[in-house]
Amino acid sequence: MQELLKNAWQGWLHFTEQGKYAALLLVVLLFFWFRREKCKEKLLLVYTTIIAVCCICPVTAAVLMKYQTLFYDYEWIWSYVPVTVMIAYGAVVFWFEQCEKRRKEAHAGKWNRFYPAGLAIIMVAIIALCGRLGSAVEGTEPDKVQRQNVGKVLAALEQESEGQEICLWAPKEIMSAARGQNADVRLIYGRNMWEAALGAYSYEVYGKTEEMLYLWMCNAEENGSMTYTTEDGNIIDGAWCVQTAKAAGVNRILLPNNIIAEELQALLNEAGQAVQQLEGYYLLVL
Amino acid sequence: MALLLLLLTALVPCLLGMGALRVFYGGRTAQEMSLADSVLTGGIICIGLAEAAHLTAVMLGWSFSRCINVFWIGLVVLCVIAGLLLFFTRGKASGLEKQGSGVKDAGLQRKGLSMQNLPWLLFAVVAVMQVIYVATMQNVSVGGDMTLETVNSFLTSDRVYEINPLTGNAYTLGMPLRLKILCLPTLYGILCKSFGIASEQLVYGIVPMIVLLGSFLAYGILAKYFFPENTAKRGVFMLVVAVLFALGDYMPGMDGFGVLHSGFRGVTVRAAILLPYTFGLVLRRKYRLIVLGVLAEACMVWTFYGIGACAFVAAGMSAFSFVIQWYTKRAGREEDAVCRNS
Repeated sequence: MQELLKNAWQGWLHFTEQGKYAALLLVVLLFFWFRREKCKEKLLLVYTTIIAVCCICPVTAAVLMKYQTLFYDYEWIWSYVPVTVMIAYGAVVFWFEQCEKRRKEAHAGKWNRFYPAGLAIIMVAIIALCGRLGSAVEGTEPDKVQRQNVGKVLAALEQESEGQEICLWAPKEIMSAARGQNADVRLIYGRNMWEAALGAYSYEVYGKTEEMLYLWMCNAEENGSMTYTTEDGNIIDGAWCVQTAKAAGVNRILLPNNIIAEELQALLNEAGQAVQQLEGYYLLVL
Repeated sequence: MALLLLLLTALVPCLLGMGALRVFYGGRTAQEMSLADSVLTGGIICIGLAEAAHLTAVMLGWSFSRCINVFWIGLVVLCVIAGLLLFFTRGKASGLEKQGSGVKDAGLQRKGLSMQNLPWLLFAVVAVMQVIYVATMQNVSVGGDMTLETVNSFLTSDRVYEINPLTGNAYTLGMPLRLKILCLPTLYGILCKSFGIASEQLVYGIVPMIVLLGSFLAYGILAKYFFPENTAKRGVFMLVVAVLFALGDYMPGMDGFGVLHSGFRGVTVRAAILLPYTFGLVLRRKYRLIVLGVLAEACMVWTFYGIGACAFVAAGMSAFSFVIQWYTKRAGREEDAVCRNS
């Protein structure tokens, strides 16, 4: 329970860190509570206020998180709050109220016809300030270009294999998009190796072997080295990885092209393998 | 084929929805519900049909091809039933009440048609830009999701949930039943196979486009409820909704992020369509249709033993409605008592 409360509070802090729509909602709610005659939708106002408070307060937020199942993170409890509906409704009521008020107050024939447009621009600016404001959208990797690049690599691999079934081991950017691009390609491990959230989709677990292969490949991508030293001091070299992958059923290995040339040559000599270039990667056919 | 799919996505749910509304509410009330209600209700029915086909494949071990046949046969049967129902009950329904569209606010009163429609024009521009953005699959959020891989695995193996979508190898330990019963990947696979559309194009492009448009329909129903007599206010409401989507895509969980970057996910369909539609149903006191929304959510999203956000919203708003009515009556009685005493 303590963990849940902590997650609820951390979730609220994270939710308000990225953007301020929650603050905008609270402003709209305050507007309606202080001007209750303007809000014809009392039910919506009462519901939104109470549930918004429940989402902010850690205890009630934890209850909501438990209700929605712990499969989903904190931010999804805000689905229960009609944020978009309420902000849009408040914006319409406020804008029309101000325009009408200004028109009535204006002297005859001196109504500023640009006032509605000006007010609308200010309101859009406020929404923009509370939103993303032009910064890059996070969490959308790989993007379209990266996916297309992976598609090219896989197409070249398929051509090279001439109809043979492919079981692939490759750098992360290939492994993450491979099954989405081509379901005929099997992988030694999937995205759930590094995306913990995907672990909830099945009871499958990876063994130590797959973990070592993953860590070795990450190290190769980062440093270009064919040797990886684990946390407890064990040294994993490329030859062991190639043999282990082959034993696990892998018949195609893609290596990043930043691999140190001498180390690659040493691996090829030891493993008795040839290597070819494929769309910016080294391809080993086992 | 993509255009054919889009056309059928508009027509078939409309037909099914009109039939369903006639069943739920009879001729008169069904006529009062808008076309948007019909389309959304029909869409929910299609999801139910996909769920039925999916469950038969999962429980009976049928192939994916057989599952596709079950879906299409079921859809044709329901469409025929809906068509016959509408045909034979067409005379009993009373005429649709005409809704006024006069503008009552001073700010946009003059210049009649053009000023009333300006918000709608601006909304259309923003909406079209968003539809194009989504359809071209610019920035898709796939973190924590494996819908595309699952669809691909169904299409390649012709089996449902028998191979691990992330690796292509057979499951050794299986997957949770509460996830296995969710039907969206099956629905997407059926559409891919039936219309010959690439899975990535359908999952990351076409479905999010349909979800975005469905979301605008749901918010359109709310706009009509809030401002029944004022076209301009409805237009401004929709414009603000579109702007909130465009500027509010800063993190997962936000409506804008869902519709613009992950419209294929069940949580997005829930947040962008089912929940606004549920709010609209409760506010209009159309409680019977809420059941469909609750069931649709259970087919698409991991819920608490079948009850999720739609049930929570409906129950919560109904409870608050009861309390407000009780409080209002009590306040009215006290006021009467004070007036009598004075």
